Amino acid sequence: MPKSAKKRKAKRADFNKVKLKVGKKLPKADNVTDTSFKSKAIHLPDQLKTDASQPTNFKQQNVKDLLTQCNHYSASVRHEAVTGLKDLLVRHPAAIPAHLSLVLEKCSELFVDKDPVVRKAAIGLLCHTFSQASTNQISPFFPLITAHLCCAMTHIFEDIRHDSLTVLDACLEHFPSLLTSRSGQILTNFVGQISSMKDKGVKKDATSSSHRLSVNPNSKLTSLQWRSKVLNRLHHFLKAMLSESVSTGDRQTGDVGKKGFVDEIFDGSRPLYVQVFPYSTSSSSTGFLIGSKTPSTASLFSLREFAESLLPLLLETWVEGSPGGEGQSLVRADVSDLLQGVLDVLGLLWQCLQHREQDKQQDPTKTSFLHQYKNIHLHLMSGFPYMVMEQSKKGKGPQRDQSGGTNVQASLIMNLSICDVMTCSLEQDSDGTAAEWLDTVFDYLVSCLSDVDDNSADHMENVLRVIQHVIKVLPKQDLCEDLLTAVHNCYQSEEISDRTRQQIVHFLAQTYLQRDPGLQKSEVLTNWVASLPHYLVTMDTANQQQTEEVLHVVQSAATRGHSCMVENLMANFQNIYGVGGLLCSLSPPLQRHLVQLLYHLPLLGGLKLSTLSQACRQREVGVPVVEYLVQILLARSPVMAVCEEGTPPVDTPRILSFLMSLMIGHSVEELKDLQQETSRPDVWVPGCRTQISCVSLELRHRQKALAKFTCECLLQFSSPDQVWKVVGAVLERYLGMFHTLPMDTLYAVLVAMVMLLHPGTEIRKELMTPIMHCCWAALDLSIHNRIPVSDRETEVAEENWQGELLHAALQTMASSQGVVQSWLEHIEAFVKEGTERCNTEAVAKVLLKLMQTPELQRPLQQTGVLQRVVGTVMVCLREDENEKLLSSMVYQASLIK
Amino acid sequence: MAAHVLEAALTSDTSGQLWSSCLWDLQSGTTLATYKGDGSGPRGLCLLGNQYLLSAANNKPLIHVWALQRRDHVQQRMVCGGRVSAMAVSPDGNFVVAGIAEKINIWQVCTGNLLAVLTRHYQGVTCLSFTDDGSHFLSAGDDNLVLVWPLHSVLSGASTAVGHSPEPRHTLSHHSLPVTDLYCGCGGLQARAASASLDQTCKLFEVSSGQVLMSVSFDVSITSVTMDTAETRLFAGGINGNIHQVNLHAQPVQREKHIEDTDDDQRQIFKGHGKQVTCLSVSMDGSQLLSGSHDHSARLWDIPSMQCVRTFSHKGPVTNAMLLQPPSPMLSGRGKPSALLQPFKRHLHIQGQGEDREEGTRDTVDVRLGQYQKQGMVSEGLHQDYSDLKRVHSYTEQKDIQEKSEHVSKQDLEFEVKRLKHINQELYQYAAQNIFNSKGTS
Repeated sequence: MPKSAKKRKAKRADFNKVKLKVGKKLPKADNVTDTSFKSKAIHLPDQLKTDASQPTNFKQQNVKDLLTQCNHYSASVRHEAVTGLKDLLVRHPAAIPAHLSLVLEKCSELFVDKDPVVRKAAIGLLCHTFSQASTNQISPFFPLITAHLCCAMTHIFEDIRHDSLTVLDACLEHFPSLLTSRSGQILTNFVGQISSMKDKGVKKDATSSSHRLSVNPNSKLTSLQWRSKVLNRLHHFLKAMLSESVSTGDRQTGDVGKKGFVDEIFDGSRPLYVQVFPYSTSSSSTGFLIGSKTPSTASLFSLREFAESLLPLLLETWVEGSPGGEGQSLVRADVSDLLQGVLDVLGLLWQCLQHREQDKQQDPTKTSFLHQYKNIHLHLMSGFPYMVMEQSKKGKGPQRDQSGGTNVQASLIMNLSICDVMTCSLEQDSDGTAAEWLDTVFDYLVSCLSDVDDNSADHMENVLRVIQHVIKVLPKQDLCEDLLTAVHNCYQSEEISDRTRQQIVHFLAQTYLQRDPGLQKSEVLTNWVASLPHYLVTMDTANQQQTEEVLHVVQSAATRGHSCMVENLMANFQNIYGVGGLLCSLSPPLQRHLVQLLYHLPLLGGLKLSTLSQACRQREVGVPVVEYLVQILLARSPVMAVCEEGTPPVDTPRILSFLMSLMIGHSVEELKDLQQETSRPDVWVPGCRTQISCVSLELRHRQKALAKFTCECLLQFSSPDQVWKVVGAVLERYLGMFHTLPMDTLYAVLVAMVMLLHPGTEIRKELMTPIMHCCWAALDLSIHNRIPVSDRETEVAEENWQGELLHAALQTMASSQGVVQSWLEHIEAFVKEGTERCNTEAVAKVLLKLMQTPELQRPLQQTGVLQRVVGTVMVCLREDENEKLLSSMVYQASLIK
Repeated sequence: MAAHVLEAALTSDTSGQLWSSCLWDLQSGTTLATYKGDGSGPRGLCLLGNQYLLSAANNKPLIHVWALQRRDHVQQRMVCGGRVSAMAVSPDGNFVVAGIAEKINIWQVCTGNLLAVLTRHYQGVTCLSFTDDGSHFLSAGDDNLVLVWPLHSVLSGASTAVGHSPEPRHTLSHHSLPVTDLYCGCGGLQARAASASLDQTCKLFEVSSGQVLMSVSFDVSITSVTMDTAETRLFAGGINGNIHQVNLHAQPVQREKHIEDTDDDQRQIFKGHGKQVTCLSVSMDGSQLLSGSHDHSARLWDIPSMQCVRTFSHKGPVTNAMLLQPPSPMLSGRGKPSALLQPFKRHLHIQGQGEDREEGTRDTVDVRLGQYQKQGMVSEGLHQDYSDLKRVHSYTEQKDIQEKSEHVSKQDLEFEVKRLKHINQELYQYAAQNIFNSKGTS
């Protein structure tokens, strides 16, 4: 069938050639896409999904997400993940322990990340984790961290190696103990950082080491700067190691129970190995150097080997940095840091070795090392004796002009560390090689001491430390003496600042307290100690620690029988123990120290004791201190001695008078003054000859304790009768002279009567009357509450005190028939004289109180005059409306009848 | 008489009017034995190997000696270089240690030789005490120091080198005034010891390490100290006659304790003495406490109830009071010391000197009294423990010595052992042939 023309045409139309003409716009095709729209990215800072069950960071990511992202191939994602992790841990510190293992693992993997930003963030995360976790928590993961750290330290990329030092810093800062326990690994890497291994093929001779310094010309940092950085870290590391081993050593000696372990099981047949004595410390410190990876057999030697390989390197570094040529002493400012680092590490290295091997005096390995050390030393010496000396004077001259005075300090520090390092080997110096440079070092030290100024206090510490070390190791006595003389001259010079002086005092004190037999004969030290009592008086007592140290020295000198010092102490007695002296201005613990010195004084005369008793009355000296003082005096008196040898420093009459004056509590002058201003006593008891003056409550309590204490002391004497005779005579004299007594003295007198009077002993007539008046005054005072009080609190305290006073007075009355008798007669006469009514009433109340006291009823009855007196009093009170008083008097009187 | 007496009190005073020292029965308060003579000085009364009683005279440079069974008068007087201020006898009875002024003398009992003079104290020695295994002794003095001396190294050091002064194992300078008393607990080297001082403190420390475990401070100067055997309580006698009891196991555990003399209920004070307490001693079972004081009396206290059970009155200040298990000669008055006591020499013995005869022909034989002491006194089980302990300690000491002389090679030591075995063999041969044979023939 033929196709229709229409169809054919339509079909052909699709294939018609479109004619395009120039100048006409091309019509758009039907299927063109419109690209005129604009798009923008959607940024989602937070996830909408929140998961409250797990801790999340600000992006709502949880730990799991973040940890997986840490391994992402993109550096920016890794960075995001690490910072996010840190943010999470900051927000939720509690999450740290739970995820510690994972976090630390990922974090340490990133130490060797190629991207510096990621590394930096990882270190930040590590620091944060460290600061939040304890040592025990970290310790299981520490091997992992150190493994990665070692990787980083030995990495082929230089910047990774650089950053590894930062990680090390973080570890050192937070967990020095963990780090030092792996020191074997890390120390080797340190050496590797600045050196390269020599080829195995190269034949080694005995002196050269297996390493040599490496130089990297491509590096951004100069190799000098780089070495300086590494040395700085090494210095910190060794320092941590040293302090760690010292502290563990101390701790180990402490708990022998724990460390004195049993090596073998005790089955009865074999001996049991019990670690007891110093060996426990030596065995414990084997962990000092071995890392977990280091074979344990090498424990003792690894440090030595390490030192052997490090020393030549240090020396090379030194040689490279130091001015070339013999006799040159000029050091450029840029290398001075490096040189200083070398010296610091040298010094510390020596200390570590010293500490490590101090137990084994005759260790052959040590001597061989020393040989090595000495070689290096020779090398140092050939280059530097000049330098040590003149650097500060000539060498730094031109530079000082450029950059101010700081270089003087730097050179001083450097010279001192050189001295320090040089003196280290003195101990083992047997063949006198040290002699040639020793003088130079000495001269330098002495010159350091002689030209001191105000800002030299910082260096003084270093100078003194070096000197201390020299003194410790130097075999020659006379040289030590010279050094000590120089120190002492410095101490005596006027110009030095207080701080320097304190440092010197500390130094000398330490030197004296060391039990070095040679030094104890030192004349300078002896003189210095002898001058200490004077220094004590003049020194600034605000510095507690210093005062304590000086007192400690003085005391140990006194126990060692240092006669000059004791003489000087006696000469300064008044200034130290007198009123307003040192004793009053110190804190109680130091006062006790000072009081203890009294024990060692050879002779305490009357004058000295009266000084002491005055000091004891000062309010600054507390009751416990006074009691301590009295006990010490008693211990030095014949009272306590079992057998008589020689003359005791305090004889019996003097100690008695001291105790009595302590009991009275006021000096004779004070009491005399009281008598004169008696126009109006504070408390006036009608009819009684003894009047009372007020004393503050605090003072009364103090005196109460002291009075009781002195009475107890008096009871310690061998014959109580004779003591009572003395006490009685003193009381008689005092009470005869003074009629106005302070309250505390009144109480003391009554307590003395109660405690010291032997039952059955009769009181002499001359003493009876004043005692009677005292009792009356005390009774009247306490019964009638004559002391004005302000507030409630003092009222209670006041009542307590008065109660005790009343008790003492009643007991005194009860102890002696005569006192009661004479009192009754006295009041009868007083009442009959016809005084005012209120006075009579007061007397009546006292009488009633007496009659109500059970212990007094018998003495009252025995007087035989009671009824008559009661009658007389009642007659005088007859018209009184106080019925109650009258009736109770009648009742009590009838009871006693 | 009175064979049932387990524990008795031995006291002495300065006067010596009635007797120099006296043994009291704790139950009845009767005297079991008295030893007549001069008064004795403080801390100067010791039993020597259950055979002799030594007493340092109060004011004279003498040591009086009684054989335990003869009580009437002093049998022997040893003249010393000065007044003996403290004396102690090693537990095995081999050595006597005495403080004379600031020196410490060590005599060997069997020969009377003065083996060593130690001069490390700066002032007079006030007390001496042995550890119960006799390996160490402690000394304390007026110079506030407490020193721990290893006996064996002191003796070996003194004999080998002239001019070389032996060093104490530990020097404790924690007191600030003279030390007045020392007590060393049981346990040999591992013992804990307590020291008392006029500076109002007692310190408890370890003998082995020399470390202070606890410091107790009081309101009063302390003149005597002791602990019970189990070391649960510490007793401290003061200068004012009070005896404080400190519970060492009290909670909370404190390194520094302050005991105040306040009037509350918790205070634990034995009150009764009027003057300073000079000596304290606790019975074996820790139930009774004996105290001697300057108020001329010794008192026996019941510890749980803190009451005074009995008072033994004296004629002078009591200088020594101790509770002990009296050896049988003391009670029965029979028997004879099996060892002779040589007079103590006044000059330092230097080996080789004074023996002009050739070596091997000495006419004295060293005798160990300790072997006698063990018989019958200690039960079998205890004995076993004791010997084990002793072995342990002797091993430790050997180790100590070995480590000091490490340069001695193993071969040398083996050779030495062989040599000693050979000597033993010869000794045995000699004894078998000459001594026993001659006995058999005579």
